Amino acid sequence: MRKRTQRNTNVLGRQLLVTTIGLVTLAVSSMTASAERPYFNDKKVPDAEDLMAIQKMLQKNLAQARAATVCIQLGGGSGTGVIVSEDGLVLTAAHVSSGVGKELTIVMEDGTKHKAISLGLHSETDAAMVQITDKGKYPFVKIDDGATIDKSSTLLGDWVFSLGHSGGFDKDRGSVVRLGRLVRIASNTIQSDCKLIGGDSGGPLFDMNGVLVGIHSRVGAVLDVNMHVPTHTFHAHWDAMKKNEFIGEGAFAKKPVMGNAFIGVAVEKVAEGLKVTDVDEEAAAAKAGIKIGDIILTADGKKITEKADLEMIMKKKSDGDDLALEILSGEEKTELKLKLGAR
Amino acid sequence: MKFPKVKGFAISVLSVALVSCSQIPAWSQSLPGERRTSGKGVEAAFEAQRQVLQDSSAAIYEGRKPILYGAIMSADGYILTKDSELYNYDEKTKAKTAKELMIIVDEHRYTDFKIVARDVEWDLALIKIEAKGLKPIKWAASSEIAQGTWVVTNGSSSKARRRVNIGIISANARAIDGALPVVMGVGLKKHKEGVMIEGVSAKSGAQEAGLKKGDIIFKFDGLEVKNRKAVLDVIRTKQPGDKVEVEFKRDDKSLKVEMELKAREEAGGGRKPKSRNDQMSGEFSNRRDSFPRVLQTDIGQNYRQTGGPLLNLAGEAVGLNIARATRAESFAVPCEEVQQVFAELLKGLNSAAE
Repeated sequence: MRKRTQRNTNVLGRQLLVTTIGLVTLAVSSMTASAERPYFNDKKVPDAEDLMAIQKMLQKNLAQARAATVCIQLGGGSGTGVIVSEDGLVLTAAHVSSGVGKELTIVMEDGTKHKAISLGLHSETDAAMVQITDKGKYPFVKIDDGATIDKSSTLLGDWVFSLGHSGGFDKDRGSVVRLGRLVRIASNTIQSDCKLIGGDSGGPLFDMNGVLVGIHSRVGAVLDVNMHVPTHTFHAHWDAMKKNEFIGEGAFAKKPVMGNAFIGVAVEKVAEGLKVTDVDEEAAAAKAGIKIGDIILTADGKKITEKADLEMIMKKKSDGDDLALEILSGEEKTELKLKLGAR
Repeated sequence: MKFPKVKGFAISVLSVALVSCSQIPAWSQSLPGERRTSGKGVEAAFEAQRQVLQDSSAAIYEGRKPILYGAIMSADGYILTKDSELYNYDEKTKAKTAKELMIIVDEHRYTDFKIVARDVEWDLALIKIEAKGLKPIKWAASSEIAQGTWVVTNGSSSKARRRVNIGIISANARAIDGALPVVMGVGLKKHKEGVMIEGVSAKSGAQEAGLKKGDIIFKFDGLEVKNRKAVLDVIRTKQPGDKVEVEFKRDDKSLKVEMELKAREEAGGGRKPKSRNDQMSGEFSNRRDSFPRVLQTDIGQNYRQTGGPLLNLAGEAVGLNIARATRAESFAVPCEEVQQVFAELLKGLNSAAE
């Protein structure tokens, strides 16, 4: 198992080398802890007083941070996100939202569920936005407003905390908090030693004031390699992501390819529509319950009389899209929603 | 549904799990190791708690390797630790033996020790060394502590010096479900006359007792059993090593055997297949589930660093570090339960001695 992980990681490592050229070089500086900037970075190592101060700040800001941290569910998987506006704008990772215009479910800390849709994403840095579509006033957190890496208020060595729905939503457990320091900073990635695991992806990294400074992206084999997308990366692509743009050709999300979706049936023309003559057991039609002999009457609300009618609709579909079919099965008409896969 | 692949790692609904990455591009800034959370510089801030571990925790060595830690419970040498890490299982003789261990408290070495009692529900073992004047751990008044509270437990050790492993309380205290820690080692299905054995694990008590696939158990420990749950309810009350009478039908004949129940890991049962999160976690504890209540911490320990006390900044123990579950989750038995188990185990020893 370890071998496989290594192989995968090497591939991604190469990808990252490609995607993180043009690094910004910064002077390593220390600042004094103060009421305005309680990052406890003024001494090389903390003392007993600092430990108490760190604990106090964390406990003071944890409740609001946690209220705004959500579980994002789609298909069979789940990740994490964080609400950054009262009307329910959520920041997450591109490999969590996995595309533009996807229907998602948002689970709040107390288990309340809301409908949401994925907005734009940046596939090279793993940044993405999701909008909760249920109207309401949502708890939210402040974002570090630094527009570039050198304008960000967090510095190397600052104490930070992470939240995430590790392994999926668990109401008894709640979201999980971890404490650490910023241990590496680069232009489009920051690394902390807040330990992350699957399900945390897309979750928030906060400074000790409870201000959002990053979004969880990926981990390495050792415990202090936990990578986050810095918030300035979101600021750089903010408007485009809000306008549902799929940015870049990166590793973290794959652009939909028109026409690569697959229903998984063979059909012949009959009087009522298209009769199913064969079914691919692994594909979308079989999973939705379509059987040999069923007759397809409509697709996405359009009447189907010729094979070409269905082909026309499928040309605009891609892997992961939905397809609504009306089916005549014996005497019975049923409406089915298929989740299309790739060929 | 097939998941599209992007250069070697799957982007799919399942990969909402974190993507692994060990290679790092050329970074502009990096924090020296000693200043990191697990670094020596930060460790130094926890000297007061380290001193408590030096005096009131035990380091348990197998040969030259520390494999486990323990909490000093009394001045005369009772030590509580994690039970499931204390044994070797011999494939050939099918016997379970206590590991050859050396116990170190402060700088004093004890090779003469006994495992005097176990509590399988909590995975705790009580060890006795011959000692005088040890400093028992001080227990906190309550394990009800806020999330985000610093906690400290044993980190890697040398024979002379204990070290710390630090973290915070990171989630709600709760029960961790899991398979029963004690097993007979069979698969069971419902049958009109009782429960039928579907398969028998090698090394299990059932195999040693001669039970076979197709046998229909109708009485278990003297109780009539109609379904699987009735059998499990009996097993739930047992300890490893307990014997139960099993009455069953084979070829229309009624037979009776005595069978030993074993700890899951001794019976060769055990680990479920590794999940994706397990694969990114490295080694974890043999037993990391089926606890009635635990505290969760983010202590990034090694799986050989369990068993010691979990201290708050005041140096009082809020729990006993019982499992490394994943890279991001560790569990501790809360202090109330640790003390209760200790009292009950002592009571059992005293009544046995009378």
